[in-house]
Amino acid sequence: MSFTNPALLLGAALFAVPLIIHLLNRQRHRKRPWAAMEFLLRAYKKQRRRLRRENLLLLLLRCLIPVLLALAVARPFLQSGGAPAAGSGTTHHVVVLDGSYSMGFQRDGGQSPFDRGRALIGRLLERLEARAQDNPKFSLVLAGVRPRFLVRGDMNLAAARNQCLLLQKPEDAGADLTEAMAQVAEYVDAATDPELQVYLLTDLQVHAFGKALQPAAKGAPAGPELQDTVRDAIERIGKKPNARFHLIDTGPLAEQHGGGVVDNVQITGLRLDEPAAVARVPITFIATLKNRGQTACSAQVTLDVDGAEPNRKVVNLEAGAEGEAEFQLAFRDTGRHRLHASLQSDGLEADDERFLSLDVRERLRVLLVDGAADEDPLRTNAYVWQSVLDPSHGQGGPEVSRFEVKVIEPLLLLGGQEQPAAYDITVLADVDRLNERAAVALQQALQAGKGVLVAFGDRADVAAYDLQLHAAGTGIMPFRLLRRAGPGPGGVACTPSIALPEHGALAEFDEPVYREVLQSIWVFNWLALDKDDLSKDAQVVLRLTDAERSPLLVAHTFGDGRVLFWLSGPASEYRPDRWNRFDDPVVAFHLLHGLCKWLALPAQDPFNTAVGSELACTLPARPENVEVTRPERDGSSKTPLSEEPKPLPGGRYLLPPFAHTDYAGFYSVDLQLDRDSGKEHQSLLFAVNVDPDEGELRYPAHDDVRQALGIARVLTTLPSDATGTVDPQNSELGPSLLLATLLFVLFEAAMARYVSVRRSPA
Amino acid sequence: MTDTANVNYLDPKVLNKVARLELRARLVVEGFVTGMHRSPYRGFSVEFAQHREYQPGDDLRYLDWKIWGKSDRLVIKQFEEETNLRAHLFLDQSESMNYGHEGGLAKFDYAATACAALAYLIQQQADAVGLTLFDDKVVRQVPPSNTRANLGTIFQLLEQAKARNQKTKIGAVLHELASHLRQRGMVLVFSDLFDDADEVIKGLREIAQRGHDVVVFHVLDHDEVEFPFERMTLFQGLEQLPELLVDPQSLRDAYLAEIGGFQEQIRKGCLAHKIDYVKVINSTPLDVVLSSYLTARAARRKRRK
Repeated sequence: MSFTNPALLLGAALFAVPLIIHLLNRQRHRKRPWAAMEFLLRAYKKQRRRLRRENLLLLLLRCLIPVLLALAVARPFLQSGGAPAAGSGTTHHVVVLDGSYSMGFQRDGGQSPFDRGRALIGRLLERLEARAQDNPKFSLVLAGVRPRFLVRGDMNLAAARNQCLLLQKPEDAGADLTEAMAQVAEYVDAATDPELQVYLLTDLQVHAFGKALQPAAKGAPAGPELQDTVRDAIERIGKKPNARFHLIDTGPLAEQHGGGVVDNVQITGLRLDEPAAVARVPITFIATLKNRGQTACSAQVTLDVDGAEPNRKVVNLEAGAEGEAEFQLAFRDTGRHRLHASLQSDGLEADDERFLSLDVRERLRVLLVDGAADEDPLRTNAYVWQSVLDPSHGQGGPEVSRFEVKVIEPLLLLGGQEQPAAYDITVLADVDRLNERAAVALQQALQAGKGVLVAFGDRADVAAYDLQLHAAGTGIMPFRLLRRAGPGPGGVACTPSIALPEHGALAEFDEPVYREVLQSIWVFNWLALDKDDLSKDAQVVLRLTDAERSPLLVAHTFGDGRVLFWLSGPASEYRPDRWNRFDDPVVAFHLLHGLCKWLALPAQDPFNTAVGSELACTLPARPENVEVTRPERDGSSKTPLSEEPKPLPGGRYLLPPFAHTDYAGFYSVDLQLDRDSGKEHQSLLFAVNVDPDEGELRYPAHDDVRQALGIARVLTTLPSDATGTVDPQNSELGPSLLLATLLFVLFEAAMARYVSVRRSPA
Repeated sequence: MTDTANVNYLDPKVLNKVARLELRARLVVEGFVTGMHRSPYRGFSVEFAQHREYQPGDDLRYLDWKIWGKSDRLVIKQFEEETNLRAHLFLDQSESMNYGHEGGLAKFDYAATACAALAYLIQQQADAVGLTLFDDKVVRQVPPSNTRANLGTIFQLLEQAKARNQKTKIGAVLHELASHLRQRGMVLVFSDLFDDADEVIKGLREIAQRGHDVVVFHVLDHDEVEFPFERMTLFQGLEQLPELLVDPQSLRDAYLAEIGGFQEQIRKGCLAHKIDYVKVINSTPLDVVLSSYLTARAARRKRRK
């Protein structure tokens, strides 16, 4: 038998109190000469035994009550089978603490699962320090953004304790415990300690356990390949004969054992309704919310921009439903802006915020390389593109379009006088051929995150394009062109068919009526491509309705930029030999706007990323004196990045890597660019956000966890052999002893009353 | 006497304040006699028997004034039986009689007062009265006489007597006294009788068998009868008995059963041998004692007729 609070056993010494009182009472008596002594003696002789029995029984009860009470509050327990007592020899205690942000959930200001985990670790360390003569070892793994050892077994306990004190809160990661447990299993395999105890402290939130606790997909074959590696890791640990594994639930529903769902409302996203933001053009921001709980609620969303006066909206959400809050804003200034959406705090704060780093441009600059520039202006491609994208160009008065179109002749591109990288989008409108310089310039523009649209017409030199842009598969074009195809203007035209309706390039065609219009446009001629040579990364957004279902619009990414290949580009209505009717105003506006807006954004937005991701972007020159300022939640000061930046083709450089994005918020990177003209200071703003799925506070029942992971039990506190803490699985005798004490007290009271009544004068 | 007219001298608490025994005795008797006129005992009288010549010292209340008026002779009225009664007062002065509850008379003082009052009453009735003090043996004796001088001697003896640190051996003493009593009379025993009950009864029986009228005044203290103690008490035994530290409440019932049984045994023993038994608590007014004596005396006279 062991005790949870052995020090309280000292209370058993209080058994002496009734004895002392009894002795004192015997001292405090009156003396009285008595004549009828003989009768008194006779009476005493007859009653002596009974009196002794009664007095002794009462004294015994009164002495026993403090002993029982001391035993009860010392909380004795019997150890059950399973976990072995820590025997002689070094025991290595390895603790894995779930550092995901769901561990920060606090109900009504109580302890969070993370705090409970820390408290258990503290108790374990106390116990180990008390048993220092056994030379116990302690290791701690934090399963956070990147599972890592905070304490290794070779550290002394005092240093380990100091390290643990640094753990103040969980990270904002949606931790997957798979990697953490895999690391621990390897560590255990390599360990040579006589005895190992491995503890996993987690809130059992379903997301953290990955596939192990999800139902198998329908029709999926059963087999070891579907087993979660958490289970594999546990089995590996279990196979080591001197190792024991303990899973400890520190979650909010731990004591209930049956699992359940805890209410939580979160912001799942913050986006624009347009691909790109332009100054002075109103834009709608949409904050998406999700009610993960089981009760309807109202949520107030606050959006603040660059720390200015916030805007607020209230959204009503049914249980399990999603909702949106829309905010319309217009930016006066160009450049990077901070947008911060937040909810009033609930039990889980980490997912009540969303951050967005937004680049607002003056206007989207389009470089239009017009292959028909030397003809009648009305018959040029510029006429089509400019009238659609930038109708106010050269008209005087205010600029109303988000696009600013500059038209050049192909020679300027081929000669290098214009650099596509200086523009947001470069459109090759029926350009007959390109040279190497132009091809390289386009590549550089794409690598810099700019967009390129190649609209083919009747001038295109197929062989030249294949040579320069396909470049045997190394160029920006993900296919080889074959020949001109189609019946021609006099034949039966084909029409476009939308192959990828959800593609961003067709964002303007989300309404069915617009799609119908698009799919009714006549196409007479196009350039056919070699389908067998189409890169797997390329996406065919539009096809034609010909027999071969020829690709019409192909999307591809190259470097950080996006490129579209329009195999039958629009031409002026004044050209009778035009290949199609995409110039029709009904469709031209939406199509050209939509394609260019999509192209205006880089393939990947490096400035908006997730917790745990590396902050990375390409820079036009070599960066120096790079420093990162982390969000306030992180608690760290500025961090210099000393690693050498990696050079990229075209004179660009990669930002030195910074991977410590453990907390959501804004990360500001200050640097100096080493330009030819001198040092130029730049400040880059990155927004890092949490994974909303970690905010689904759904906890499985302990039975399900046991079955899924193949373990015998799920604990809610450290096992007794580690700390002497009462394990619910062990037989705790405290409540029984308390009941026994109560019964004894009642019995003593009844006995004392009985004796008093017997002895009192009638 | 007007200042004492409203005081009940039969109450032992009041008597406790009167130091002199003789005075005490007189107050008791006078209080009793006064009460007699209003009491159920009214109508009781002593019958006139004959005259005798006056002796100096005789009570002038019994002088027959008519005869003096007629014949100038001083004669005393003698009442029936008055010359026949010889009363023996036996008073136990063993250590156990020394006990008394707080605020009350000790048993001995109570018994001594009762003896004094009775002696006074008896002498007033021109009967002879004697006194014997005893503990484990006879200590002092005053032979019965009806003279005032004898009464004075009795008072003096009672005044000076104190309970002695001797055990009670009343059985043996009564046996001894029985053999010394020559003329038949009344024997009034004042004792707590704390001795072997059989020996006590045996002794009393011996006296009764010799033709004496015996009245036993079983003098007990209020505490001995009620045992009202509550706190832990060290009872220190008198008459060389051991002491006992005990919670009185735990023994109360058993003790009362013992002492009650003892009293009952004595009473039955007395009843069986036609001995009058009067249980007297030292908190009881003394008229009980006096009226008990007078009842016994009247009964005796009836038997002699």
